[in-house]
Amino acid sequence: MNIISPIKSLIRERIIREFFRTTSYRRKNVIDDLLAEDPFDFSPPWQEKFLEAMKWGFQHHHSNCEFYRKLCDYRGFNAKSIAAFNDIWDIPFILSDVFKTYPLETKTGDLLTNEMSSSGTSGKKSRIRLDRLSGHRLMYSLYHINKALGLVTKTPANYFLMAYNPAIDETLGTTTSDVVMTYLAPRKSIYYGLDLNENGKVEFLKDRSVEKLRQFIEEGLPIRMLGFIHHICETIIGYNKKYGKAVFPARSYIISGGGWKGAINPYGASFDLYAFIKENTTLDTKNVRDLYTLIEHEVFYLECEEHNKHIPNVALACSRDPRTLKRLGYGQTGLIHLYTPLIESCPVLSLLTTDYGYVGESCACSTGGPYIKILGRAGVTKKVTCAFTADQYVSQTVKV
Amino acid sequence: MIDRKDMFKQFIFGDTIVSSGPLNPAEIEKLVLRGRELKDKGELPSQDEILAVFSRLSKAWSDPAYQKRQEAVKALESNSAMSREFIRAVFEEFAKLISPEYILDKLEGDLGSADIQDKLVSQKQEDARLIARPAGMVLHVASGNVFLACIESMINGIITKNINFLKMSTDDRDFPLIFAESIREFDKELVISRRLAVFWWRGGEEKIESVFKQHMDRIVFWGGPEALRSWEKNLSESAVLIRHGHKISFGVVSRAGLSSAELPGLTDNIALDIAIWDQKACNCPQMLFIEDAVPENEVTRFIDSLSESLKKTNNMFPPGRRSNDEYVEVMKARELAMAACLAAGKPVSIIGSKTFDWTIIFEQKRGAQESFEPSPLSRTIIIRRYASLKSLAELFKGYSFYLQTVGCCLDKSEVPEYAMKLSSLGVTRLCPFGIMAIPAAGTPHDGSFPLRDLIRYTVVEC
Repeated sequence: MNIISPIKSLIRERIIREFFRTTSYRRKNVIDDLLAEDPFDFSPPWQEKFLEAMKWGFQHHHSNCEFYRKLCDYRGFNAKSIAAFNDIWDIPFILSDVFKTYPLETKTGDLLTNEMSSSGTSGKKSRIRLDRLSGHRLMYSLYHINKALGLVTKTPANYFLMAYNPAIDETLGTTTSDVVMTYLAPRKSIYYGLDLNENGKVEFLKDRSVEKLRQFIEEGLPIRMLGFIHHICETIIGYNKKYGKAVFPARSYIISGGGWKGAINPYGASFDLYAFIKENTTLDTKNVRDLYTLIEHEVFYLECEEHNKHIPNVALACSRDPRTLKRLGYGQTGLIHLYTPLIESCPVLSLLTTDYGYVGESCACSTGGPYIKILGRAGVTKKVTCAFTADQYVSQTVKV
Repeated sequence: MIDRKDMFKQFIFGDTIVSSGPLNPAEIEKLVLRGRELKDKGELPSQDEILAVFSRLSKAWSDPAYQKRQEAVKALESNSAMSREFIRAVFEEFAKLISPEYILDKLEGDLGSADIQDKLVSQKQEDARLIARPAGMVLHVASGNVFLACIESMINGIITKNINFLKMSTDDRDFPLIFAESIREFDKELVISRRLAVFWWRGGEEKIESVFKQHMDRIVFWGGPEALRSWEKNLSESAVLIRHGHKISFGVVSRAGLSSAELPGLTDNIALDIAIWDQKACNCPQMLFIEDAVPENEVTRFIDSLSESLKKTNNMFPPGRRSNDEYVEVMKARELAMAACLAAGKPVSIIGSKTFDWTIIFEQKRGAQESFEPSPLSRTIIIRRYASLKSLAELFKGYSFYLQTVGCCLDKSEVPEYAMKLSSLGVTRLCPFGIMAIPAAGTPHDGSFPLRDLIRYTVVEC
């Protein structure tokens, strides 16, 4: 175990706690004008505010991140290129995979409070360092998104986290966001499903998780199951085998985030999560929400009751044709491209992901605004070739 | 083209059979036992009989109006990932590849004598005579990337007088059947056809695979690592697996080689090697190494010329169908290469079409300083400098099994040194650019002679 981790974890916890004491902070620049109490309010003058914030953000990253400045020079883009709202779409992007190789930073002069890394399912991890201000903005945004979607309550809850215990490694990004989520309803207790086993190795502790779920169900307080959906399902399967259908207390939620994408679903492509929940628990599927967020872009895209991931007004999203990178219209599947000015310590203003999906124009729920649908990760189909390919190279290198 | 309603069409020892589904394990077992009966009879066709069939076949396939050729072109245009232009170009050459002359060259090159299957052939130095006999029953497991590979494999099995079973690839379930039917058309005596079965089942079906693993004398495998692992498991004692798995090929350009080369011609040849089979074949180059001694301005000229050649080749043979994932892989490679240049404070040197049809990435990494990265394919060539042959060899240490063809632009005097070093590293072929994916008849593939893998020799010392 990393002995620094528990200390870092405590510091981070304190920062989060301080934020949630007031859920506010002092305005620093035009970016903060975007942070409204209603995160899905796109009424005028939202476009102007967003444009100003992106202009500021562009100038900031261009001036304080050499890498990004060079990138923009290479793409022939400068501050003057952003005159109108629609110019935002052309702000040079950094591909999310680049962060897996290059730990890029933008100088802010602020304290870097938090370093997060992705789970590294592709073999490499992204590392992002967040300054205090950006961290607060993200927390503010996250808090209000959850509030708008009905997930902030005063009733205490038991938190069941299918995430890494931060005492082992607080840099794993899924944990950071999950910890923040545990402030949305007063905590009765927190349980981590991915922890050290008897041999000191980190793994999903299935039997222990099943017993903990049993204990939480018996306590009767709302349960909030968060984290890797595969482990959540495995816990429910284990529970069913031993105790039958899981009778969740009222106002319980499952908020999944990560764990599988598209083809790596271990239950097969036809697996229907909502049918599974209906069959094995008493939970209303409206209370099963998936969350899309990235280490490189920690804005939260949380599902509404209709299971659409709404785009908050601190971000912008579009899909792009993988063959030309041209921006696609509503409903057209391509690579998801995300924009946000919220983060100052890292040049993630414009981030092209390697996730397939599309942007939906309007949802049947009352939340308002567009939403994104994530359909899976790009690059997972096998190439029909007898040529030695990059994925084989990775596995061979590991062996060597 | 075969109607999709006839999706489960099979060619079984001279008969075309249409069924509502693929053959099941019991039917496959029956089929294999029929093959065994034939094998046990020991009646082998003569070489002349075989060549006579191929002579008629070759003549027919040289005619663009030949119905089966038209059917094959149409089927491949619809099903394969290759472009129409490329498919048509392949069929301009196809008749040569099935001609008796080509087959004789192959027999001569691979077996040392074209007659060795029909009579005892004396060895030069020993007082011994040899005769080659078929291994027996051969299963060819086809891959979908190069539609000619399974045909060539099937022909290898035929000319070595084996009983042949061909498992078609999911991506190409038409051309092998069309070709088998074409063989029958010119094989009135069923010399070849009654010893040939062509069919398909979904890969990974253990029961079917185990029938073949039990009864075959050879299994010739073409394809990727996962399927290969499956075929490697539980083979019977008598079944020999001939692996043509995933390989890597690259090119080298030395200063001396470049200085005597005619640049546009050289880069046209390299572009052809990159673009042929859309770079999906194991012998297409993924990387190009240019010697450090080549001056910067020469390298720039070389890259400019290569980019022109790739443009030209792209117009002549546009890329075939690619999946979105394939496009994303190229985009990723370009973005990561750009990031590497920016991070290193070096100019970005990526050239390519806007639509990702082809890409040249000139890496700032040098020789053995850092590990190599394979290309994402789809006509993406990674160019890197190398300090010396020794440093180049260092880079590929530990990858012996995967190395295959090296395209060369070397001075003649350098060839022996490069050949010695690269062959000891694991490289199985050095050739000029322009023919990397077009090996000559009767030469080894993946380090061994394909026909030798399908026969056994009997030595007669009395």
